[in-house]
Amino acid sequence: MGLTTSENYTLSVDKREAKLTADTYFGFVRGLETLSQLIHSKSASDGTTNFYIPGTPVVITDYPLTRHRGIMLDTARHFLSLRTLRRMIDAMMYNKMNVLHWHIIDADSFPLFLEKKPQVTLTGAFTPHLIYKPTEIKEFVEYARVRGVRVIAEIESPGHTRSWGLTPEYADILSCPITNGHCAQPPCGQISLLSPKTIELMTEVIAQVKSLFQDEVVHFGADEIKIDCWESDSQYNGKNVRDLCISFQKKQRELLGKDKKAMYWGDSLYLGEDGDIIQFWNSFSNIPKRYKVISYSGDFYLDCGLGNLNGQDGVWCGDLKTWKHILSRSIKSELEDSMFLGAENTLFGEMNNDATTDVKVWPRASATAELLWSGTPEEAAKDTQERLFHQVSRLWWRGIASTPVTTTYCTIHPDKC
Amino acid sequence: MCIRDRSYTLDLETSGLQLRAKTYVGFLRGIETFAQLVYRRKAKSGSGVEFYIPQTPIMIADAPVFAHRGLMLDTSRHFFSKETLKKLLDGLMFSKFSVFHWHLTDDDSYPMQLDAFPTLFEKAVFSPAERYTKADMKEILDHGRKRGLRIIPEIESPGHARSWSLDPSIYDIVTCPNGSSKGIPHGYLDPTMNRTYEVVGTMFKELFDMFPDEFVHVAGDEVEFDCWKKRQSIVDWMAEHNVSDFVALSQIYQDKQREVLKSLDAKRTLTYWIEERTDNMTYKDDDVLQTWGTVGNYSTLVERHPRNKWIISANDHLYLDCGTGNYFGGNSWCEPYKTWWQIYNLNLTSLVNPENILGAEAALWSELVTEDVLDAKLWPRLVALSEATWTPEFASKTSVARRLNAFGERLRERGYLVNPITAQWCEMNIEGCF
Repeated sequence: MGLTTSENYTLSVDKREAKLTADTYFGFVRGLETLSQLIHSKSASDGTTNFYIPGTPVVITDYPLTRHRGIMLDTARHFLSLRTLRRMIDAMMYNKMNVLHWHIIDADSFPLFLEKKPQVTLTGAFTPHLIYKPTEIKEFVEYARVRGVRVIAEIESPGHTRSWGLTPEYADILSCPITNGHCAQPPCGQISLLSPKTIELMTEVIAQVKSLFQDEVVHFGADEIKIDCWESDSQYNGKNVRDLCISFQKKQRELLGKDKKAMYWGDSLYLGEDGDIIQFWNSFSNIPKRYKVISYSGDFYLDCGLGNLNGQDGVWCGDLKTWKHILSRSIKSELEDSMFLGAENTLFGEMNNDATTDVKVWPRASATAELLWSGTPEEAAKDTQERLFHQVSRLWWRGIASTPVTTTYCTIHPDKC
Repeated sequence: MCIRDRSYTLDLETSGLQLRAKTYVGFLRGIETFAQLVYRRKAKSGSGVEFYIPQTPIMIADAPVFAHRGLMLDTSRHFFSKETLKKLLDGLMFSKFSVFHWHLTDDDSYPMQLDAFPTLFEKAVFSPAERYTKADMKEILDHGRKRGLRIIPEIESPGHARSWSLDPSIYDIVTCPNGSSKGIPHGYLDPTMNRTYEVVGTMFKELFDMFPDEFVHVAGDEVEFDCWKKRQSIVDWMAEHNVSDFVALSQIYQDKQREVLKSLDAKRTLTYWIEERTDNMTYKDDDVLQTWGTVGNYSTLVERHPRNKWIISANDHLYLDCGTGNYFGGNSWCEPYKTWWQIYNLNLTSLVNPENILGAEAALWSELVTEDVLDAKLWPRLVALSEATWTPEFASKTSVARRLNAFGERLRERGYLVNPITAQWCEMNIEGCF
């Protein structure tokens, strides 16, 4: 499944049969989800449950307005178990979302197992047990594929890379180690732009990611690059660090190959080749037309308003973005732009672990899924609210610990609320 | 009211340990401390694990500064099963809380079984699975008692009583049961009807039989006068009895309710919600006032009610539902979210007349809380309140972060879903981040 895969389907249900047609397997998965949502249950007087589809005949011709409807999970700030990740895939399938953006490594930890450089993983991970083995990743990617979800790995670099340089072999490729002030948040450290060892390690990382992840897109991150970090290292005296960084990123892009697309956060110094994807948080009128864009903004950021890693309430994006806030965010103007691919709810992991993932993601990601599949509803949120209640009930029934949308009273009497 | 001795001493030598306390509850507190001293490591021989206590000898003499250290949970907006409550009570015991304030009823539902009003148990609940039988209540109360927790019941009136109207025999005493404003209809008891006080008396008699605690919370909060105004009989009654305004009528309700409850149990202490902007009642000296107003406005309240005892539930530190939206999809009224650090910084001893403060309670209103998300709302930030009331003397942020993080780990091992308080790298390198 890729950027251009059709997810169209047609579903028709009458008293005798249900017929589901789709261009691809993935459209078929979308249609199956719709079919499951048409099914209601009723308790019979003898205690058994009857299942039925009301309102037949039903004919649905459906397709998503956007190609990229994703969730980003960060397994570097807190390790997340495969169980959590699989449950996320299930929930995404229930919501017709099609991309899991896996922010797998960062300064904090390096849980991605490198077959050719195992020591990097074993020293970079929080503990040698908190890692993702190649077989586990392969199985997980297949688990997701069967459920119609692409997995895009993000190997954030060259900023946020302290965890790359914790083995004796690579110890000298780190600039501005932990105690120095040149980073957005602890722990500090950026890989060298000068050392051939960096390219050597980068080559291994890219090769490992390509072999395990299969997707046509690899995310290079390139967020919060601290030029002053390298400038504070005497090795860089008299050098143009910005230019060095851009060449480094160009080299990285070359290593990825022409058969793949790269993805970058919007403040990367280098935005890649034609057709590469920028994950951008503002209006993209200033981004050259040769790129594609994923919207990423405070509206979709799931950990706003829940406190930060210092115990303060301030996160850069203000208060928590509720499901209603997300639904009221129009994508009308973005849809008119051919660069626009879609959007993602991002859940950075400083304040998230296995216990809190479901609670933080759902049902707000359901609101995002609706927005990206169908656009903003014409009339006020009334009908959408009720449909969201039902979706949350289904999520609960399917074992996803979603936060409720409203009180029990309002769920039973939606007209009053 | 009596304050019981919860002190204990714990002496650990390599030769043995001694835990001494004057009361069963003090002993429980000491056991928890002992549990926290125990660590686990790989066994030196063989493949198992062993448990050890580092840094002996250890001598601890401990006692809480504030006796009233609690959590309030609302089981009316969403139902919480008996098993969930029992697990919650365990968690409160592990964190050395002393009070579970049970907000049993509200507009939304009345999930508690009463012999005198069986129709409520049928009609005022969301479903047959979402209610507490008498046997359930007994089990929960017993569970709490054994864990050294006082369970204080709250049945709110005259406001927040719409659920009462779902029993036809009570319907008449509730004004605005089908109110037209957005959201849940709000019901307000009619203070001019004798039947109101009959019902209150019957209800509370059963409540007092079930709940042995010396306190009962009667709320008395947020009355919408429009509902009383709309009922002609109330307006007429006020004219007949020279009641000047609705504030005076509220006072009449409160005073009559007090009479009824004191006649059922003269020794039971009445607790009321209070907040500086809506404060307009007079109280008796033995009433306990639970303030949900901000910490900054506390001294104003104390000036008006100088002889009462207080429970602090300041919304700017202790309202746990803040910051996660409201039940209409908008933002909560009390932004921002209260982090563990904000909770810890309650600073009770800096408030005026701290000797009149019994303690504090965090409040979890449950419009957006189900059983599945309960743990995520509470742990471990709630534990910061226990620390702030047991040992109000300020510790450094580094110390609090380190200890709260370690305690969170223990809660996780005990089967609770626990939020991180910081990034995992910071958990492992506290001084690198705090």
